[in-house]
Amino acid sequence: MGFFKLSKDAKDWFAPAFKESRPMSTEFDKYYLCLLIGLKNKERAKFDGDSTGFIDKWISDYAGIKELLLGLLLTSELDSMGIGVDEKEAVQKVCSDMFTQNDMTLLTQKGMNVLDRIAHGGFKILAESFPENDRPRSQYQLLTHVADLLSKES
Amino acid sequence: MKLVILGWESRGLRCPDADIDLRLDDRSPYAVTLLQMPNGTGKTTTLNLIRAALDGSAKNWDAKKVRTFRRANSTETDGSFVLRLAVDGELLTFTLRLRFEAGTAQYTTQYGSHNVPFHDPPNSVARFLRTEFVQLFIFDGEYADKLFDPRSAEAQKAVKSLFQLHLFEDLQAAADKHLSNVLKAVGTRKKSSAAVKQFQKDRDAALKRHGDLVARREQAIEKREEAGRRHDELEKETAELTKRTEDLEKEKESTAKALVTSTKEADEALKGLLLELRNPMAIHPSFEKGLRGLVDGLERLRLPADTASQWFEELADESNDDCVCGRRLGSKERQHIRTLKDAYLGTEVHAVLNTIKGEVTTALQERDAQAGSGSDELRSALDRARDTDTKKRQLATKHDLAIKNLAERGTDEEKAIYEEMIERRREIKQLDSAIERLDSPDGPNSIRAAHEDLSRREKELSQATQTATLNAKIKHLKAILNEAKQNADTQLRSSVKDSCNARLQTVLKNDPLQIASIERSLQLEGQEKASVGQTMAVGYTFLVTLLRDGNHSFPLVVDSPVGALDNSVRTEVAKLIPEMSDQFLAFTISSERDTFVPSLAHCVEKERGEQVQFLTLVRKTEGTTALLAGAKEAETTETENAALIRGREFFDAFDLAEGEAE
Repeated sequence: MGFFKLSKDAKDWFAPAFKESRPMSTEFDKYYLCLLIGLKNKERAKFDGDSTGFIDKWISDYAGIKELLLGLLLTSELDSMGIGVDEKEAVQKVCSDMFTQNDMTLLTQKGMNVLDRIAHGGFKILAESFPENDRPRSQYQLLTHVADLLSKES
Repeated sequence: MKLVILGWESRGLRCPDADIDLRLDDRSPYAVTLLQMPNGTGKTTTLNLIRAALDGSAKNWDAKKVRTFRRANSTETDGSFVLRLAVDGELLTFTLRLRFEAGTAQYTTQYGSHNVPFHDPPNSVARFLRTEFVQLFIFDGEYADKLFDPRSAEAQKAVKSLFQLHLFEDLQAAADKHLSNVLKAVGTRKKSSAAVKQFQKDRDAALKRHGDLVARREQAIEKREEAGRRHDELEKETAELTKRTEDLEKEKESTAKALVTSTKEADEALKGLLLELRNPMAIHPSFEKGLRGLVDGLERLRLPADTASQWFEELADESNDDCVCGRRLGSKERQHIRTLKDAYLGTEVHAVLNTIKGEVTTALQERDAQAGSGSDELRSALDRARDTDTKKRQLATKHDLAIKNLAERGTDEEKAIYEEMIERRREIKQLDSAIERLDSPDGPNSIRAAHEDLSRREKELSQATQTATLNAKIKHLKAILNEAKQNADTQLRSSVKDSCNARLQTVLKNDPLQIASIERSLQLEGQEKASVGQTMAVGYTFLVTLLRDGNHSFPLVVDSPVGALDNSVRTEVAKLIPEMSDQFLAFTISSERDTFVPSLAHCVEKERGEQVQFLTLVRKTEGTTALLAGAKEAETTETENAALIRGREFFDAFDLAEGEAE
């Protein structure tokens, strides 16, 4: 089973903002924000510290968009591998490597790893976008910052 | 001032009813009138009535005395005596009415238009119509004796009376009366200087007390006003504080409400932002582009295929030797089919990819159906989140400030204000009480009582001072008057004595007698007593001197003018008489006709060219009826009980033994 993973750093980093329980209250929310930033910035990072899987499925808040996120994952992976979408066999191979219906996440371990790295990469960008040792103190601060980051023209 | 008697009328009295007219003409009397009245005819009564009419003494008669003037055996209820006078030529009438039943005497005074029912002589003569003066010119023999009697002190009284030395005493009495009135009004006795000092001390103390209380009141009023002002200020401050608190409470409430609303809005906006973030299609154009490209690519690649690799696997593993196309499946074909499966996604991937493709396609179609670009929505949501958050923060700040202001509203300040207010109220209450006590009508701190006390003390002091001063002044005045009186008395008596002695040398040239001094009585030189004749001579001389020494003229009315005098003296007295007065009226008896009357008539008629009126008044009795028969009718005036005969002839011829009149 694949688990969506967040680094310990990420968890700690999000902790102040997530003292509030609304509108976000789950680890997945943190993961998602990081994923968005990672996807948008085509950034991936390996976990360089502790990380833990927090859930092994798409939670309801994100179940409706999981396919879009998986689609974005596929495009990200194809892009990172330099595979054009018209390269059938390559695309098929990537899909085969990444997706499986045999997991609640619809991801293979490799796919989960890639997704986790994208999310972690997004976290790093997010964390670095704040002054050193600073982090969002509220969800408002977090969400508006993330929205700002995502809104910027890359 | 010249006083003459014009006549009188008597009715219903003890003396005969008669109308005696002493007038020579309308205004002037005879220089001498000799009225012959036998003893018992009422000479004394007439003289007494003349005196009473002149001096008004009848108002003091008691009922018994009034009734003594009633005619014996008479039923008359009242009698009247009218005395007609002339004062400096002006008529003056006194009417004395005696009511025997009631025992009262009533006067009527008439002169000019003045007509009053009491004894009221005009001012010009009033002071001479005093009893002690009237008896100087309404003279009887007893009076002459009294001049020598120190017990009666008539000589002294005569000098006093004529020269009005009584005025000194009157002035002293008036001063005493004034002092008495003042003292009476004051209600106290005369005050010594020590007492005055004490009153002053008491007054000063009362003044200070009053002043202190007034000052105290002023201070209290000032403090009260200040305390009241401060209390009002504090009340205002409290009210303001209260209002401020209320305002702050309201502000807090309203900001709280607004904050709640704003927080909700901010939360909603943030939720909205999150929702937008949870729509990858709306986040960034690159996401939409990427997904479109993916779907287009998958579509072009016909991925996922309709068939999964598992189908080929299953076909290759098909036990049936026939392929689905109808051809024979041999191992070669089966191997070829197995190699073909790799060109197809596995079922587990196929389904996922199919779902991905399907969902993305749907999302893109929905996207296409929407207006606007993805980032617009995110931007809008972001802006809204920011805006609502800003508003929320502002409201939160405002709310915090309201709370802070409320908290900082100064409980200490409020406490201080309340404490001061309580203190001021207590102060006001105390001051109000103090002012109330000061304003009360009485009590130890009453200004009114202190003022009354001060007024009383000032009055006492004033009165004491006034009394003491007045007393001193009156004493001084009285001393002056006393000295003046004594000086006047001494000088006048000396002067009168000298004048008397000069006359006596003529009157009593054959029987020399000199007055040594005029004390309470006439003190004769060289002898203690005088004979009857000497007494009368000295008496007349004395009176003449007195009456002539003043600037006034009085009638001289004498009862038995020379009764006891011997002939030589009678002659001398007869010579004196014209000098004594401008009007001489003598009640004579028949025995005086010798020597005196002829001498008198000679002096008056021959030497002075004046006339003597001879009148005879008798009661109508059996004894006098025969006598009256000899009188000429023209010379006779009769009343019911008396007859008045004018003329010397009858006068000289009349002879009635004494004691036969009644």
